[in-house]
Amino acid sequence: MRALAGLTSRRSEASVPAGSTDLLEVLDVWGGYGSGDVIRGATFTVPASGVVGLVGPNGAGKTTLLRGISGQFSFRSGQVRYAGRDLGSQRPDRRAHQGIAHVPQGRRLFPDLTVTENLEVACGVFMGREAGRQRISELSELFPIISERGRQKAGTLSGGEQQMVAIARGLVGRPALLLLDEPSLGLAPAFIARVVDLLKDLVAAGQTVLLAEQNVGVASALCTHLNVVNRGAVTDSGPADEILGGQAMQSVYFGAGG
Amino acid sequence: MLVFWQQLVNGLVTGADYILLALGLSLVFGVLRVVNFAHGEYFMLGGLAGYVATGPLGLPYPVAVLIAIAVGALAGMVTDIAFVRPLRGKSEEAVFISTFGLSFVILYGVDLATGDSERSVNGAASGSLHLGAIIIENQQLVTVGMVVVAVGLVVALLRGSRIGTQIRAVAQDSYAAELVGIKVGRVFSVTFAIGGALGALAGVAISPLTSVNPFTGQTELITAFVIVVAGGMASMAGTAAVALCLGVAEAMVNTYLPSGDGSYTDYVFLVLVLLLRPNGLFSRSRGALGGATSVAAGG
Amino acid sequence: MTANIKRIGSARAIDRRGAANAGVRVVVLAVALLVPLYAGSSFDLQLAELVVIYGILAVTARFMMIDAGLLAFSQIGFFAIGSYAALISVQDTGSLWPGFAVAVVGSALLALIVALLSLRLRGFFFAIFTLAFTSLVGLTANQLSFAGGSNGVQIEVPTMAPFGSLGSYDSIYWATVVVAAVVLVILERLGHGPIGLVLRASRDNEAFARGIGLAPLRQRTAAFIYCSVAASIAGVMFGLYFEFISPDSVSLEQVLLVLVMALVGGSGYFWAPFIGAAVFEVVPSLVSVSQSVIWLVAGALMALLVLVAPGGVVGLLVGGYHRLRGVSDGRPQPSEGPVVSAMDEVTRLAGPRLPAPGSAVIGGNGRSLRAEDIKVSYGGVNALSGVSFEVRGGGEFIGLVGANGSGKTTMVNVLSGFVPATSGRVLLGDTDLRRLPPERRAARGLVRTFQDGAAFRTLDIPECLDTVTVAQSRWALLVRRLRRDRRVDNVPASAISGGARQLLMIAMALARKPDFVILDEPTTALGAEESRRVIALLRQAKASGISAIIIEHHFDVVTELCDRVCVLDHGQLLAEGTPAEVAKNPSVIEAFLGTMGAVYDVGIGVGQRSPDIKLSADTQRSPDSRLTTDGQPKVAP
Repeated sequence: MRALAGLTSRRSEASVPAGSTDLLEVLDVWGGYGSGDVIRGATFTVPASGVVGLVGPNGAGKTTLLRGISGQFSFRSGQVRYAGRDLGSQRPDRRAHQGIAHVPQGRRLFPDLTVTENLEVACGVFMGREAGRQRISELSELFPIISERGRQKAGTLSGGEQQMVAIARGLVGRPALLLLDEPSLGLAPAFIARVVDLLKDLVAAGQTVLLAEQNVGVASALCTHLNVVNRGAVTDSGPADEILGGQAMQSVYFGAGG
Repeated sequence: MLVFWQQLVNGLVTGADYILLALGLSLVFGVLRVVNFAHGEYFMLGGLAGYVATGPLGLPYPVAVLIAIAVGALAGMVTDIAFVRPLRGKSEEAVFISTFGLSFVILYGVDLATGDSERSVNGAASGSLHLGAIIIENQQLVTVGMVVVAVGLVVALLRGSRIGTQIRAVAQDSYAAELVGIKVGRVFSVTFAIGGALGALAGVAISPLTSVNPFTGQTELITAFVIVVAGGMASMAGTAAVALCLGVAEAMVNTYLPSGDGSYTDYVFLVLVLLLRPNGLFSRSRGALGGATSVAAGG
Repeated sequence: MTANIKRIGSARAIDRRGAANAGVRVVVLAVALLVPLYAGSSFDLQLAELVVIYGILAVTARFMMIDAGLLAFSQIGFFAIGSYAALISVQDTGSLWPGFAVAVVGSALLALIVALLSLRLRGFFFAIFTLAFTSLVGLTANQLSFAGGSNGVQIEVPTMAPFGSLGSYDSIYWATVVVAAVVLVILERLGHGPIGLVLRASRDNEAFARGIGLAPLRQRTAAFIYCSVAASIAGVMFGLYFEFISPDSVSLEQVLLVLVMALVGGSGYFWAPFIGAAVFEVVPSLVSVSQSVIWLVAGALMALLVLVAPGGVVGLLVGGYHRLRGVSDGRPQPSEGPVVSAMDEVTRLAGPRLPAPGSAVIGGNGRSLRAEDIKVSYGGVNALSGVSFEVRGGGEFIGLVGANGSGKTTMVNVLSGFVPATSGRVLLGDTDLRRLPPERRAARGLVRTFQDGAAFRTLDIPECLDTVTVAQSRWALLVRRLRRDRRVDNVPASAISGGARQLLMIAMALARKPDFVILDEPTTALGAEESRRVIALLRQAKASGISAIIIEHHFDVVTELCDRVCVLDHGQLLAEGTPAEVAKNPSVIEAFLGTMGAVYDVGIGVGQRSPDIKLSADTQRSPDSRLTTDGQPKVAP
């Protein structure tokens, strides 16, 4: 576990102030982009070292929530509090420096950069060249694909391989909070299993994760706590086994009563 | 026949200079997805800086080149900060109009300051080389040498430096770049500075061989547009090839066609390309019909 | 963003923007008519003539740029053609009319050619193409000896028979004013009519415009030709008055001048460019500065206008006026009259245009929409790998369901004609739709909406609905327009709530009375109440015999509306059946809920849980759980 500990040790910037256990608080946010309000009064929290899932069908607003948390756009109203402070309208690069890393839906690696370059460019944001090289070699212990396919252009990797690299890229800056948007999307089942196992290792080492997933199986395998998102709001929230056994999942995915 | 080879040499030198000019425009388009109508004025400013430095200031040519590069970089950054950034999110035509206006501000600002006359720049080398009956001026070799060095530096920058990789990342996916923590706004400004510097270098590199006047920017702009559109904005090799061809074609038209006008070549070329291969001659991806990859991103 | 439209009652409502515009028109006309009376010298008249001529150029340039969304640098080119034609004609034949005919007909033909060649290109490329055109006109004039080469053409315009004393500057001025009035008033009227409507709609949302059957290319070509011919006529008048034209008149500076005149007055007002023309002709004559200074200021002004004040002079005046009166910038204000919700307003206005519920029989009218083995692949990615299904006419609703990237959007794009299939056929009845663009498919009864819910941003609700009428038939529009209640002050579509806008977009598609409608995520980004309204509208459509393909993520909506569901996964059809069947299908459950080998029986009932569900801590690891790509187990850290 030592390697993992080094991998995921938290940056001091993001220490949670005394008296609060929540690393992230999303409070009654409204907003969206373009014509309508995709998010309508969503509220939930993510405790430090917690693994929280946002589940629900497509179009419910999971991705939009993550994008708002990472700063890609500003919510019209409501608050996003991170480590006790209101993030306001900080831009994504600022939030990344504070320890929020967002692995977007569809991976979005830089297609014509090599795997190593994808990581290097992320390293360059946080540290110098030498430290970056070290970080990459650390990460390649957990993600062998980095050393195996380092020189390959990222666009030529398969979906699952890209997902590994994308998660590694997110971990470069030792983020306190890792936002994962639909990591299983478009992946072959064998790779889904691998990704889940990797994430479990990360979680076991103490990484705080907020996971948006349409695939309830993946979410349930990882998360201790689930929030059901429907039509832009959190309609149900609680420990994973409660949510899975209850009515919420059924009605949200397949209509009330199936 | 001799005339042909001589003109071929001259055309290749001009074409080489065009590579620098087009590269600057193409880089900005690839990273920011905007077309800078003021790009031709960087060329003019470069030539002007060359004149002022070697003439009234009496500085040696290499110093003049450095000054020109600095002037171009500064002009590029100002363009981004004042004329492009405030329009982020608006239509692409808005940036086009804004930089169109800027080009006139620069052009006539210089015209008022220095007066409209042809001036010459003292180059680095005089004398010439004789290959059989073909004359190659030493200055022409210097110009080509500068082009080669500059292109090499740009490629090295893009491939091997931190900011270069950031530029390539932003060109490929600015959304993901922002998420990863890259300051995209800063990358934009740096790119514009490089574009301006390249344009100005093109101007100062060719200036000892031609004359310098405030209006050269307007003609060079069209040339730059033609090369970038025809090159498909997708590959360095393509852009370079088109640039060289255009240089040679202009030289030939000027020589062989009665009352030939080199400018015709540019426009006819442009019209033909837009009609026959709107994606550009070398691009596999969409160009004029929508979307574009770029020299910066992967070429 | 106002959620409601406030309907202002009775006679006091005015269209503020139209009022400002009319005001400018009156002022311009008055000045134009009064100038010769007060002109102190021939120089004054000359200025006035220039203002009118450049006014034509600038007004048409603004119309193309703002209303039609075309940034064109070609006005000066056509202007030069007109001048040259007129002067050469007088010089060589002694009469104006051959030249006038050549100017008009020649410009129309050239404009048509330019439009055919370049209107399909993206904005920047179109602009560059028109710039190349203008430059080529100048270069050519420079070469042609009968055009005087670089010296241009200089003549004395003799007195000509039909016009009597046409030789006098006064009469040429009046002729110019009349010509300008006729040409521009016609353009203004066209802008208010169906052509203008289509231009603005397709500028706002071209994809949706085509999806309901509008053909923007036709209107844009018409607008471009008209404006180019107008520029050419302006050139004729210029030639007559100033008796001189040369290639120097075709320059980038002139192009800039026309554009900055178009913008200075105010980009949103039809007649405002005359203010720009006046500013740039009159002011330089009052202040003695060199030409270079003028160009510098023009360039700076152009950049500033785009950066800071797109409203221009008129915009600033109007804004200032309203601020003085304590109202906002021309948006409707609450006053007497009932306050109405936007959704109700949409329902009220669209209602009469929707087909009435009748006795719909699925499959009854015989035609069905069939997708046969559709394959789509690009760049090595298979978006669709052979999907087939059928929608019967007469009111059958099919739900299209699947994860992001499953191919739903691609399928719908293929059906509606926005994306060509790599192989496979789309059949409407017996007709193979291949190669038909979206607007032609709409004409045959297949329309679609889009998930961005944007409708046409700058059009108000009645205008949006009018675009559907235009798509069906132009004449019906004229009749409907006469009956429109001009006293009702409506807000543009961008200002109503997203739900109302989505409802509007769907209503517009249905008002087209199609046989088949494709709905792209109709309830995404809508709240519960808004979704109910949309569902009600769709139920009404179903009852009237319209069949639909609905992409939806909300299964409750699918269950309520759809007869059948097609589930797509990774580009293939995973399952097909009634909503209930599909919801119980194990592969579907696996794909959606993904229990990794466990079975989640939806039919069990509330509160019960299949014992096979594994939770986080004890889910089985799959065999090759370590992360090397070659299958070798990894050494534990």
